Amino acid sequence: MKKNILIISLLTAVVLGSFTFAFASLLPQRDHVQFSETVLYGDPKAAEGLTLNYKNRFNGHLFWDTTWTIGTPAESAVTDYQFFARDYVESEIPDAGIEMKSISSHFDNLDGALEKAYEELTETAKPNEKNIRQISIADYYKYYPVSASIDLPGWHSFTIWSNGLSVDESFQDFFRIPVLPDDTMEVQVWVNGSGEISSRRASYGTDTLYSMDTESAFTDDTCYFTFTTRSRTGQYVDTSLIPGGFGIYALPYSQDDIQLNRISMVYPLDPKVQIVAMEVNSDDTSLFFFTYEEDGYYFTEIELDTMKTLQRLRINDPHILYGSMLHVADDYFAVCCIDYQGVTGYRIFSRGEDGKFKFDFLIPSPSDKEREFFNFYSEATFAYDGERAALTGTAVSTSHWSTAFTVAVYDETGMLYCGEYNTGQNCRESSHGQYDCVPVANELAYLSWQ
Amino acid sequence: MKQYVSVFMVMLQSIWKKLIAILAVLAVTEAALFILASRQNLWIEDIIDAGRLSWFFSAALLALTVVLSTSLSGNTRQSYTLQRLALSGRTVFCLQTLVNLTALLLLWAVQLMTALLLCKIYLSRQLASADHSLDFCQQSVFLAFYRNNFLHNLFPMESLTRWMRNLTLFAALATLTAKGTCQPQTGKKIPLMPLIAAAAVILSFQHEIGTYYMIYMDVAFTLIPIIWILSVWLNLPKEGPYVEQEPAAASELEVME
Repeated sequence: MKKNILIISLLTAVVLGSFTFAFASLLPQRDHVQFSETVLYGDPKAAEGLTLNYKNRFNGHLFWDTTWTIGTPAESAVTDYQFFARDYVESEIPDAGIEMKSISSHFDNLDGALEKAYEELTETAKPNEKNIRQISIADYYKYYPVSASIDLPGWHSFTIWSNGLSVDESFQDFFRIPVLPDDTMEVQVWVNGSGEISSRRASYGTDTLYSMDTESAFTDDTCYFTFTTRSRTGQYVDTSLIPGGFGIYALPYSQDDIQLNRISMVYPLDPKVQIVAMEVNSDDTSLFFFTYEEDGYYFTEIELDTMKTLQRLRINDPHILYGSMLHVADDYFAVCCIDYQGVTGYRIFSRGEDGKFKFDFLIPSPSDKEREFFNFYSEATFAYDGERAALTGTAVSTSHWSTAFTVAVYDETGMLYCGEYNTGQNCRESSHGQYDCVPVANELAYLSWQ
Repeated sequence: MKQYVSVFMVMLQSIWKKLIAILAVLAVTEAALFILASRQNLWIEDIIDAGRLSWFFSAALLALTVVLSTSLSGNTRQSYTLQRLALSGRTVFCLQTLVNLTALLLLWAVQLMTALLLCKIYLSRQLASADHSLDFCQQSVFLAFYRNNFLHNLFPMESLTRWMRNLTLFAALATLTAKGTCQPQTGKKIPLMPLIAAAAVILSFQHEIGTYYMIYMDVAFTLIPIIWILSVWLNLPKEGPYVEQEPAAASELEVME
């Protein structure tokens, strides 16, 4: 009897022990994300105190949010781990604010002004073919048929539409911009085998003069936005019919309500000023924006409570300022420019003791030698502690689908250090063509100085 | 209690040699093929596929299903012993199901340990290696158990629906093989239902990690085994002896004794 019980106990122990061992050896690995460091240039001590925050995910199931400070043991990395049994689709694209267009492609929902153009196109179209024509906008519209897409916390164009509000109508009522006399647009119809329209649309054409570009930034309760007024041929559209004139506009909203009928102009701008980028600071007290004016680029900070100008700063002689390669924090900003001598680099400005921003130094574009291991990257992240600036870049040694990235540290003397960091999780392509372990929103690590 | 333990052991004795043989062949073959495949410097999850571990697990499961379904059929010493016990058919069936479940769980555990240990040894060698053409990290084995369908189904980590599915499938397989054993049979004919249940296990072990569609597959592969188990239990006679063997065969055994 004892022997029998012993055998049964042994079998039970083998089964339970195996599963316990598997749990004990595999599950603790789930949040065991660590960075390996490869020095590519300089002394890693220059990066000590720089914290990496890296967010990546395994398809829609495993999500890692790892924080580690360079110069500390690899084991000191802290990972916030989440598991979702079912595919969890995280919205990786941050809210974009407001985007306006001078020509809406949704004419079917508007006043039917283009019906005649569509009819003419259909009459000359051959079955199962697309018929395209450039038409004069002024023949059909007095004002640009402005449209807008809204993407704010809790509010998107579709949810607004489903609440019975028309974004396009509200924006067209407010933004009455007379059509430039020679401006054109493209209309097209697809005709099926029986000669009926299967689809139709209108869009910017190759000869369209005025295509509206929008810049926006938002706080918890207001979205600030403005648009470009200059046409491709250097003409400026007439903004005098817009209530309050041209400037920065505000759209109030909350989680429960979006007040399309309360759009207002809150900060006047010269209509010849072209906005390049716009940001709100972290505590929603200041609005930063960059403009291109007759004599160059300017940075402006305005106080949101009063809409008063706090600072207007000329950025010295950049020929081109890349609005997409701009890093703005409360106490500094860095912007990638090409100056008139053809030198590309990040210009770093920081807030002085008087609260005003001042130019600190330029990070020059990497030299040919430096480019072997580091280059500027449009999706790079940035951190600045007043002396040292850190930038991320894509790893040169591996493919794009990798958990490896580079970090370069600069001061006013140039590059101090460059290293490659890798979690080693390697990104594999699944049967659905997706890569696992990739960073969330394709962002490299977020940087901050301790 | 003593009687149940004795019966359990009698049932176990009827399969243990074959069970040990299946487990040993499985572990040794898989280790050999894994080592052979690992010479190609592959990712862990790819070696599992290249070594065809899932094929050998499937073969072992089918072999064990056959062994369990036929363990007490025919005129063996164990089946004769069971006939002479004063136990109801239900009790014998319960004990047989328990024995079969133990054997199936042993197969699952041995397969898991074989795969896990091989993966861990391979990773430790890769981490110590000077060749860094492939990225490896401490998480590589953990990730392999998500990337490789067979490994993930073998040990579904935090996927509770998949654990439920696996457990009900194994419970159904144990029940159906026990039914095959405890029913009157002629010769060594293998009943069909246990083979269908084994095929369901093999098929489900190829399922991908829980996409929206796969969650429903998990639910389906959990409910169907439950229906199988219930249908077997509801059709069991409440009273009556164990197996009604053919009188001639039984008397022959007595003579042999």
